Amino acid sequence: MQTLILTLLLALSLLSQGAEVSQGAEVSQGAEVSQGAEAPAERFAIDTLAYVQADNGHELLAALSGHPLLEPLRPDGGWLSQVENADELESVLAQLEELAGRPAMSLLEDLSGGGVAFGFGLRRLKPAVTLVLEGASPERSATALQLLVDLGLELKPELKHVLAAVEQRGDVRLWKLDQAVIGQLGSRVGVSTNERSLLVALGAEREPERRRLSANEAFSSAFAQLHGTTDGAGAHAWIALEKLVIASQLGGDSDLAELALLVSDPGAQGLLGPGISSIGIARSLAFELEVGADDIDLGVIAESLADTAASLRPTRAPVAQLDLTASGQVAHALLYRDYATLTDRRAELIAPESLPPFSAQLAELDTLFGGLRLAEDVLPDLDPWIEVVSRRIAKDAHTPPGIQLPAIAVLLHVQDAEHHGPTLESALQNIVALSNVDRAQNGLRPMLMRLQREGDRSWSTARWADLPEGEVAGLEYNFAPAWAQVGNRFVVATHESLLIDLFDELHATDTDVPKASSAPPAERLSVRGPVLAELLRNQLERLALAAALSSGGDSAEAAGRIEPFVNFAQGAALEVVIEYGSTDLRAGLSLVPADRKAALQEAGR
Amino acid sequence: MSARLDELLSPLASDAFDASAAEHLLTRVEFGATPERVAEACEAGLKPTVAGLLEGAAAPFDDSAQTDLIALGRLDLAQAWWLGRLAGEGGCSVLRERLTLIWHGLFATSQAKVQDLALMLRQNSTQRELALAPFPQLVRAMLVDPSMLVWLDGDQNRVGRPNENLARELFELFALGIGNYTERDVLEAARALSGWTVSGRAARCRERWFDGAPKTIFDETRNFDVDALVDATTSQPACARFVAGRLAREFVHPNPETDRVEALADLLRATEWDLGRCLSQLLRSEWFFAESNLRARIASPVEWSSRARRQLGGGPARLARAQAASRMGQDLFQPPSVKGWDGHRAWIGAATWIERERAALRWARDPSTPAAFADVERADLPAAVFARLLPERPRPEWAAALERDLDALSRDEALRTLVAATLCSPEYQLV
Amino acid sequence: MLNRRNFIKGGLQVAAYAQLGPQLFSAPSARTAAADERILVVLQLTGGNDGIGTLLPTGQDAWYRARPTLSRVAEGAHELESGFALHPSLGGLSQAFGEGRAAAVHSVGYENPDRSHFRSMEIWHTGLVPAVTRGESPAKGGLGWLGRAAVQLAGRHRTEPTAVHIGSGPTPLSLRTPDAQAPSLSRVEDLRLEGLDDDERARLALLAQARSARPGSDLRFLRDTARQAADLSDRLDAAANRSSAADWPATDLGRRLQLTATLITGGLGASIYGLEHGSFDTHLDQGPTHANLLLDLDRCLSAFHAELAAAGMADRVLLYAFSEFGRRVAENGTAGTDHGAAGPVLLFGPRVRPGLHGTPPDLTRLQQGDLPSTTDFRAIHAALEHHWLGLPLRPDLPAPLATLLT
Repeated sequence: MQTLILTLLLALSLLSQGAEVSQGAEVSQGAEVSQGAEAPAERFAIDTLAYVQADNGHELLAALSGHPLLEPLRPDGGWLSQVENADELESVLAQLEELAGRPAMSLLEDLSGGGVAFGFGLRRLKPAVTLVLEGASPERSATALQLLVDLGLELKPELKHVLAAVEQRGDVRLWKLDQAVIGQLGSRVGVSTNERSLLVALGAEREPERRRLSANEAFSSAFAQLHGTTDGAGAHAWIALEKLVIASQLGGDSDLAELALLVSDPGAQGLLGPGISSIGIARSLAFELEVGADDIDLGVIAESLADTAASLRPTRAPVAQLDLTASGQVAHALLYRDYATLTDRRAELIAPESLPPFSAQLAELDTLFGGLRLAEDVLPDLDPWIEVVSRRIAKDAHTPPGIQLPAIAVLLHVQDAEHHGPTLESALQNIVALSNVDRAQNGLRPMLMRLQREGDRSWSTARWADLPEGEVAGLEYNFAPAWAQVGNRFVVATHESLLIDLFDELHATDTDVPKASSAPPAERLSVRGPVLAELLRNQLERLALAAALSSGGDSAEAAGRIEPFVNFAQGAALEVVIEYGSTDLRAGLSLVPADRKAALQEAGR
Repeated sequence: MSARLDELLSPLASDAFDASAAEHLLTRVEFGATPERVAEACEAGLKPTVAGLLEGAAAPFDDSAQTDLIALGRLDLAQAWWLGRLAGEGGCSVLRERLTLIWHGLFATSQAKVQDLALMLRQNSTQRELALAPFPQLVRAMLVDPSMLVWLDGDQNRVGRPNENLARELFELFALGIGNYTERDVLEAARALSGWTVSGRAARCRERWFDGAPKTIFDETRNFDVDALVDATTSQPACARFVAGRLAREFVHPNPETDRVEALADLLRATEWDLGRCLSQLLRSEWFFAESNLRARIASPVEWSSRARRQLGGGPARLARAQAASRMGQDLFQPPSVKGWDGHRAWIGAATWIERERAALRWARDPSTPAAFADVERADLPAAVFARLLPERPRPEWAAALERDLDALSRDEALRTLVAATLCSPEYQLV
Repeated sequence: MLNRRNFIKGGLQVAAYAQLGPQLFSAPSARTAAADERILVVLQLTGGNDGIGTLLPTGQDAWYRARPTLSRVAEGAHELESGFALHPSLGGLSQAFGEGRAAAVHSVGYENPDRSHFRSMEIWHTGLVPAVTRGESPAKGGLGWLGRAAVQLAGRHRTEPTAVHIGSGPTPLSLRTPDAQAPSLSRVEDLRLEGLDDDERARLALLAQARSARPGSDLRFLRDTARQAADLSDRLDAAANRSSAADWPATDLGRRLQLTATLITGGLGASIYGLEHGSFDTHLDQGPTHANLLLDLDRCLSAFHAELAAAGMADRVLLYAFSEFGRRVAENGTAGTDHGAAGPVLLFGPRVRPGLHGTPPDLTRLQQGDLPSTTDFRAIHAALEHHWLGLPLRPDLPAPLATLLT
């Protein structure tokens, strides 16, 4: 989403630069030009690597800048104040408004009311960037352009001779600058680094149908799935990822290429999951930004995933076991992490250079499992669906951390729990014991480990020694882990009290391995802002001190910088869904009002 | 007061306290001063200025933010917090913080071994509390300070199993210096310090681990405990000399003359360790203002950073400044060894010099820097920058060369260049 | 690019000199180390390297008995001589032994071994053995053996620095001198001012040049250091732009040893380099961890040799690797080993008398479960100081191990 917003801001600033260079142009009022009514994609070449289209650019900007969810984050000086050289831009805009006698946004509407399209591609191995704005009508477009020209004249009189050299190409007016060409045809205004691309984008020339972007099968299939679903303001984008990677490597940039390595990196698989880690191997990516009245959605389709890691993706969806409406809920996730397959077929799934350390770590972990082998004996009996919950917990009798983080618990489903439950329990005990040995050797205090029993429940805990009354504990006191087998599930929590809460919840649900839901296989994550906001607000003073020390100002100023984020969190929730198709992947990120019922909740119950 | 004292620490003639002298005083006591502050001091005169500085240092202070730092648990933030105080941010007394830093350098304890930020900050608070206290009181507090006990294995020192570490450093590095005690004194002092342990962030002496048998220290035999040991140690003639030498090195000259140090030691004894009175006399003495003592010390990274902050205001955030100071070689709460920082020329090496240049550039490029010179005309920039940062110095040739070069630059670039060049000039390192 | 930059910078500096007058030309210019100057690279295997898991006593039954799990490394080990073999990871080192470029000394240590990492490290770094310090911390002496050597060498040098620590942590005690510390570098960038254009750099450089100052004065000292830093920065710039002739592992040790090689071949001029590798503190499941550490070491040593050989400088560089102690002879209950006592040291480079030195350890004769020291580490340090760096013999140290170097 950030990329899209940045792209749009870029477009806006290009526009203002265009204002500088288009002065002196004689705008032909109401010139009759034949402009195709076809979709903008018809006017970009088939080898376009990245494409952005906003059918109503000014509406999107207006919707985003005035969006109620983002309102708390809006800087005092408005969004523009965050752009580089904001002062300059603002003074230019002020001048423009004075000249026009109306808001700059309305001029933007005149210029781009019919849509904005942006393309990036390679022409003879040189980057070709093209931006075209479709005005509301030739008249309004011309008036707006004239105003920009007048403004340009005021700002930079020295450019006059450059712009005087206007070329007329049919109905198109062209200005050739050092690095770019600017053109205007009726209600369309465009700028490009390549003349031919510009003429095509303006509609003055046409590519043969088979050379158009719309003839690119990957593009049209992806775009067809997106286009038309927008009901509010929105934008669409498409990236030929596979080709862009090659192009960027030619340009000496390996960042994108590294994205494709994530899929065979065991760390990335474990942390990000099979979905996000495989985005880098998609043939193309399509994006859709939709700004509704009260929410903001970003959809991503990663298309034609290479099937190298297909075996790590889910084929069915589970049902949430935990209470999604529990008070103090911060986040809930249903994640798919098939460690058994990853280790079993590591020779084909993991990059060769990551294999030796991975195997070494496995061998090291084996020593924790009392004679069992993690890869062969333990992992295959763990269900790949993992449920994670994060909640704020109540105070207990032990020393609280000076800064309280939400507690987290991980829920694993275990086959043959009779056998593996105790194995996992003692493996975690071993980890604590070994880290205690290590800490003792480095002169550090150990964690106190206890076995707890209450009725038919039993669990293990480890915690730091309590401090005397009045002493403030550090962040490490947020970690007082507790773990237990509960039926056929194994639960690890960062706090004993969360574990005990989960005991009650889990005993209330049936203890079978969760039934597959009929929904398509999808990982889900839901983050609720209000509890997070409350936690932040409760310790604002301490966080403000840290912010003041690290980013300047005094604590009051720093608190002023943090508060917008707290207020933002107070009103917002984030829902993430990653749906797995047979060869593609759809991710949806939605920023919704915090009081809206979670999508996960709807799907889960 | 003896005639010798009057002679060696005689006060500066009141008409000799000019702008140059005021700048020297404020740089040594408060790391740096603006031209406005210098003018203020000149106007007030030497005696009231020194009195004001000492009053400020003796005033109550608030370092309760330490609890927040413990909760955050980050050493770098604690360093940043202290560095801010050392530059007088939030209106705290720089002299008190400066003395705290002197005691931190003397009783050098490092988080690298203590590994408990709460204990390190507690020691810092104790040193701040006792910044102007009689030295014996400070020594007593340091010997039973939890982080010190961990740092020098004092918490392992038990009857029948003595650990000499703390006792030896007490004599060698904290209070007397080599040659003023015997090996036997060390062994016996270790027994006097036995029994102390640290738990729940507090130190206490456990009777059963304390060696209650008589010990012979400095030729006196009795059942020494920590209090008696502090009395015996601090009443050694070498102790006042040792502390006087330290103060003279910090405030006057890296190699102070022996007779002046002896005079200062006499004063410490005569006033029964009244540090405020001693400093008052020292900071008003002709010796303190002698030509050979001006710009005779190489600024430590903390001094350098605090000076720039006091002269320019603004500057990079405290954390960035603390990180820069660490890279320049002064890692607060993590001195390189129990000897503390060697200081003076040891601050300057190839890598640490490049760090000073880097830090100078960062200051110059900070958006706040132009604000300090907002009202200055383009043509007056060099004069204004030198007046603020390097006043009263014979203007070096490079300034002239630099000025010629500046014509080609925009106002902002010229200002940045001037500030960066001045902050990392060899002259600026001398305080 | 670089040439152009240097040219501009140089040009501006010359212009500045001209403006400022002739007295500036009298400043001493740095030079690189003479072509025959010898370089010592000291590599510390931090955490206590398992000596008999590195140089394996494959000829002794007691070894297999004491280490039922860890003795599996005998399979694939590289045979050396008389019942000893190198760990399977050390193929490159084994080749170096074959080519006469490597040597090891058995059971090096000191009397009354201390099993604390820190204390034992301090003992190795200062050469102050427990018999001298009577249980006190040797750290307070404040002088490292390499720092002392650097001070002595500095008299002969006109280039700063004489010793360099390659690493991101604090300068180790071994490199500490009474006056200053050896500079610590983990990247070439540490000595490079980033984000400056040529003019800005030149303007800053002006400052170090101007204003005559009394020799011996602090101002002169500051000026000289500033100039040396700028000079060092330029030399590093030039050195860092040389392409590498070896296949360096992308590991911490690889980066640091490559930087060391770069500084040596680039003509930094330092005589002593200190580095660390580890941690070798393998209490738990030693097998894979230790194998990886040694493999990393082996590949780095091979690359180091290749790099120096390509620059024609292999004959001037001797690498010495040690660890603060070896490990217990018997493995512990978690397939690892605990802190022990004596262990082998390794020398790698020209003029070593190749092969194994010292008394081979006898695993049936242990002291409290550990190998007793049969060669005093100070005898090796003395040999390196005297026979390699050409420093005078020190009366307070045992005689140098004469057979070590040719």
